[in-house]
Amino acid sequence: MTFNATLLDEVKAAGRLTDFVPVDDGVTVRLLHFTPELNALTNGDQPDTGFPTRLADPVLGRFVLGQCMWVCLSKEPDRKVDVDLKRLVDANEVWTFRFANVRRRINGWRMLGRFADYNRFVALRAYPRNNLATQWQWTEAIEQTLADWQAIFGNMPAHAGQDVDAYLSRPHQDVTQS
Amino acid sequence: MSLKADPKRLQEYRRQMLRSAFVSLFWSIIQHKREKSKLKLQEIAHRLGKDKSVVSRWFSPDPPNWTLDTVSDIAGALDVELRIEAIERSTGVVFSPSGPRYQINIGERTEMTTADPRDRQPPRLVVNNSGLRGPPETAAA
Repeated sequence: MTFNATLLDEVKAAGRLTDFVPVDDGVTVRLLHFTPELNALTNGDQPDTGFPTRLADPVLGRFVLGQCMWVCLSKEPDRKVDVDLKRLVDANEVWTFRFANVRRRINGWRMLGRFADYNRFVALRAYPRNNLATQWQWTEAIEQTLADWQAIFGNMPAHAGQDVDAYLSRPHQDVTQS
Repeated sequence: MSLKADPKRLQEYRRQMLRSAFVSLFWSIIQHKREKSKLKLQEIAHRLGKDKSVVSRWFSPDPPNWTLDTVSDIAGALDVELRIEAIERSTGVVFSPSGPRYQINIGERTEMTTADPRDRQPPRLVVNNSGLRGPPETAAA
């Protein structure tokens, strides 16, 4: 079973997912779908959470507008850089958007989800990075993300590929360790 | 009202996106040229008279606030011509450095021109790489 556009339309019609809209206008190249909770969080409607909209806005904007993304498929990148998107190792195609700043030592937040298709990401959960300090916390976050996916899409598998080009359009920088 | 409408947030976003647009534009050219001609970052750094580590740092997710001189130098090093346009948000009118551009219909073709079709003035001369040219009817004469 591959990506099911009809199922996604039904999920969106039921209000379980919504299309991400960037802060400003622009032509959408890649697609990003959010749960209503993540939509409220990234909109900045929950300032008490400390969600860093200043860090997240340009990362999400670059993704949907088709600009360059820094992508990593390994546990660590091949250089000291703020990776935008990372495929978690041994996590059944769970990825994380990173809203962080290494240079300024801001741990920021992580937003977990899976690719439903090429250039189409479904974001399901978000955590302050400080709440993902242990392997156990990461494992629990991944399991919750997979459970959310199952609840929304049933048995539809996540999109999978061998390299960065299989997941998203260029331009991108692959910072995977060889 | 969503905080997305916050003017300060919008200003910061637009600044970040303009910076990253240049980084993304140049990186897409580099990525293309690397495959076509095996162009290396070292070669670009050499053309710019910069250290490779400096150029490498430019192309990072935390986009640099390049000066226009640097933008021009990078475009030169990559042998590309930059074109500048602005689109008025409220009307969609496209502006170029030589003025507004209007859509005109010539037979079945649609072209963009700098001359306002409401004006009854002849089209302006245009300069391109092959020199100064007038509109087709004057060029033929």
